[in-house]
Amino acid sequence: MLPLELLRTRTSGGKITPLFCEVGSGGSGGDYGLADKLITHFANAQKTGESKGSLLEKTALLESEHDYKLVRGLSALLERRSVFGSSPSTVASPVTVRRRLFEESSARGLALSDSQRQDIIRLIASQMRLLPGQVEATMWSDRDDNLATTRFDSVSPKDLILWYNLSLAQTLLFRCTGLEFHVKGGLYWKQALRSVKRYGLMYHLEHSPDDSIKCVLEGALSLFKMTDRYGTAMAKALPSIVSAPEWEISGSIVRKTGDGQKIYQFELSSKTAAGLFHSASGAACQNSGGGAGNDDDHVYDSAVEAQFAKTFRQYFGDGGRLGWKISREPDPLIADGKAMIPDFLFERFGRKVYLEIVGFWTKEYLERKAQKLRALLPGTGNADSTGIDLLVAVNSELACSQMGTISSDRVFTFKKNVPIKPILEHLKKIDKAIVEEKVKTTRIRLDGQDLDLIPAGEVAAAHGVPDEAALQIIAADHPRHLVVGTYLISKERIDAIKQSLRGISEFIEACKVLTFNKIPDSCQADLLSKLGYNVVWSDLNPNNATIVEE
Amino acid sequence: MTNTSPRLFFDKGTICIEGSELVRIPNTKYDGRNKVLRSYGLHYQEIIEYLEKSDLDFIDQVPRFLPSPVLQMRNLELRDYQKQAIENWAKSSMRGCVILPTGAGKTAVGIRAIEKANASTLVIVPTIDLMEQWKSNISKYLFGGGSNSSTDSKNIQVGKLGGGEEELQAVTVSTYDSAYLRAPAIGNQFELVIFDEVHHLPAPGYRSIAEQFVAPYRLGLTATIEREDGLHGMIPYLTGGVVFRLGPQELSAQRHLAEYTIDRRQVSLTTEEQQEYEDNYSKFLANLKKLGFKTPSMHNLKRLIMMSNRNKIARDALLARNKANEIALNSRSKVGELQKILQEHKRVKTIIFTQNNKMVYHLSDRFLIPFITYKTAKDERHNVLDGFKSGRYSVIATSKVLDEGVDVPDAELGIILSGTGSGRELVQRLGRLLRPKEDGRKAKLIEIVSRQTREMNTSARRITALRKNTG
Repeated sequence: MLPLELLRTRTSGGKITPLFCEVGSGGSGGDYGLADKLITHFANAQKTGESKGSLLEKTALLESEHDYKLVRGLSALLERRSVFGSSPSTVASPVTVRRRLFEESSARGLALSDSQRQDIIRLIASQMRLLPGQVEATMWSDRDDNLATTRFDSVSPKDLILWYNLSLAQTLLFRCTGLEFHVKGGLYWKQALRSVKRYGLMYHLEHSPDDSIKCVLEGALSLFKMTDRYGTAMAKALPSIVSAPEWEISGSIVRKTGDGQKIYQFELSSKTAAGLFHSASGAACQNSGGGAGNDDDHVYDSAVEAQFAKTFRQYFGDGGRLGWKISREPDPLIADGKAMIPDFLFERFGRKVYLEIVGFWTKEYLERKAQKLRALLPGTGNADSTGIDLLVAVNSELACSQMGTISSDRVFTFKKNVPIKPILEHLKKIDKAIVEEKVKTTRIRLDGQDLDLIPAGEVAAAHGVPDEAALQIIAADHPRHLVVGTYLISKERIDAIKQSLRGISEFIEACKVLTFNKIPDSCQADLLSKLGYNVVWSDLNPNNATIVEE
Repeated sequence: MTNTSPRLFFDKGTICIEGSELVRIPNTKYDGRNKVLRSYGLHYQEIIEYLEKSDLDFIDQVPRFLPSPVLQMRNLELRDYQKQAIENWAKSSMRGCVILPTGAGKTAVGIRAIEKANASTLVIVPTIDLMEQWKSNISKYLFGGGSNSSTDSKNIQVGKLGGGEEELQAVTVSTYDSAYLRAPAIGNQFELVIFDEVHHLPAPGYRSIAEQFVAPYRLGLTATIEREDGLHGMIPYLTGGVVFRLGPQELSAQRHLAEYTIDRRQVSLTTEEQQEYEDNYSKFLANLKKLGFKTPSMHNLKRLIMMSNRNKIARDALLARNKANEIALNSRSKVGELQKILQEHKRVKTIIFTQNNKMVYHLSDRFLIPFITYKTAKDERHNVLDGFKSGRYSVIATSKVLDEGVDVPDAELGIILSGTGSGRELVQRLGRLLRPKEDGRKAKLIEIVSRQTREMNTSARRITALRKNTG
């Protein structure tokens, strides 16, 4: 954040945009060149222990070639990476030297002429065993301008510019009367809302017309009149918003103009600001901690959640065998305008099932959570709840009483680890419902298909329905077909196969017949068994296996 | 939905009323965000009175006033006008402002008000110096305890907010800045709020301090309530109106302040300075013309400042004007004149005021006199003020820091080397000198002004404002 008087903006048509710096290194005259020069000045000052006053004089010279506000803004940031202290050549305490000089001068009726001044300085110098020149130099060595540049934590021109851009956007928000933002991903919502709360802002979540979620930020007093009182808090919350990979903000900025105050709109997003800020890795210069990284680096809130995610993936893969895709910390659910970010989301055919794991927390936390859950769950008297499918796993030893008020068919308890079974049962129930629904609503036409061998699995994928639904729909139209795996085979084709198999006893020969009839490998064993054959294995070699009619 | 009584609670500097769907309450607004009625903390008293008058049951969870011991003032005798001020304030339900000239004992009035309210109190002051000063005065004169016997009573712990400290006590002193930041959190913990130098309060930011505190009792203190921007019209709403006013001349008449004279010395710029001044000032005027402004009026100046952000001509005009001002304010002739005055007033207790720090350092270096600027560390500042009080130092130089309220030992002579045109500033500078003298000597203020520069107007504006304030 910069002093307000160093804010640089452009306004047009009621919109306001900060004058961000260009990151590209275009010649020495550009923003990059300026950043580079300033960094060099600071680095040199640190090497030679140059005084702050002299350093700032040098940087001020650049104001003739560049926008002075830009020069000062960048310098202000570099000053924050510097330490100015007393010069190592200081031989005595400046405060003591001054006190002795002033007392002596006062006793003599002041140094009203130059010779009187020299006398006093010589006297004090000899009393302190110093040279008169040392006394004069020490006397003002602790003045801000005279302090030496003792440390400078260097930075690349690019990082300085990215830091400046973020600071500039923050500075614009000092005069913000209301801010809306959007980020993508539950983790980033958590991060942003945490800082929103830390800085004492009020927030409210809503669905945008395009169905994304937006968060409206303001303060308690915003109700009564437009106020920029919360601008500073919004500025502080900004880094946690723009460090998400996908974000959008828009706000109203008050500005004094020649005739009173005027409101401007400010809009920025991860698309329009691409390359202006440090991306995803967090506001590196603001807080040195590591950034949020990509999706796989999730830090789990608790070991219970980590264990659950691991078990679930082990059993069912990701979007694999079970058909349900599992993801961590999805976008928030909205409960009375507040965010509720469940721990897991299972998705299949547009159906969403959320899982919230309630482990060990304080009583107040559980009460708040219970209240949010009540607002979200159907059948709890809340008209807003639009049938969000949320399961709640509650640690039975820690959380029972508070959670007792929530409709019980959604809540199950656990002791140590969250069991997979109740979730699986719930998902299977939904699978069934999906199949029933799809069977009712889906029309399948098999134009141009080989009707003797219908690949229902492929048809299902093409229509975006579960295999089971496709099988049921096709079987209804072709009641005499035999279902083998994800295929339907006509009676005629079955009879032909039966005919061909007559007299064959070697398994390998039977398979050749089936392949000739275009039966896929994966279904061959299944079909043989459905036709009433047993496969007899004498050893592990298929060449030695035989088939026997039952 | 509910038929229980409305519940009032404090939320981030506001009062929320929950469960009052059928009730209309003045000064509140429906807040769809939380489905409550909401109001500024400021309206707490009115809302409670309204609910009581309407015979409505309600649950009041707003106040969390810090527990306060029975407070007693000791060893501090109030003057008649101070007693009158407190009496008027108490009569107007312990709300309102008291206007007293600097040096007339505003702090004593404040301490008596705390005793009168006998409740948790926050004193809000503009500077760290004033914070220290209020704290030490409160510890000196206010005692907490029970009975009347002085042996039982104890010094009270005074809390501090600001200057890096954050300690809440039943009586706490805070800076305006800290109070601004903390009001949403602590707005319901004090029953009495004292706004020292209350003329700061109507500023757009600080205003919200008064709006967020629920304190039913409020006291404003200042020497000059009028603001050049006219915003003092808001003070009655924020703290209550003026309940007592006394000007410096009335006070002198009561012999509580020293009598004083004002003397103006004019100096000419050196030839070189005059040339540079002219150059810069004509450049300023020429650039104004280029931009289409006719006169260098206050209004045009504001427009110029705004334009200077994007316009090089406007920025150059401003820089030239500032340069010219700097030359006039810091002329070497002034330093020469100052030297003469110091020669004429040897060993007279003197405070020299300047507009900027650079000049302070220059004078200190040249005459070897101690100085105080806003950057001076606490220890050195103490040493300078103590030295001045005890006579170890006879002359000190300072920039604006001593303008407001800080207790400075008496001085007999004030020299204004440069300053702005504000009447308040002069009143406050006079206040530094206007302490009662035991031997009845008159205090004196000397202004050194550059002839043939615009500084003459500044000085005239100053004196006119002073007459208006005191007349």
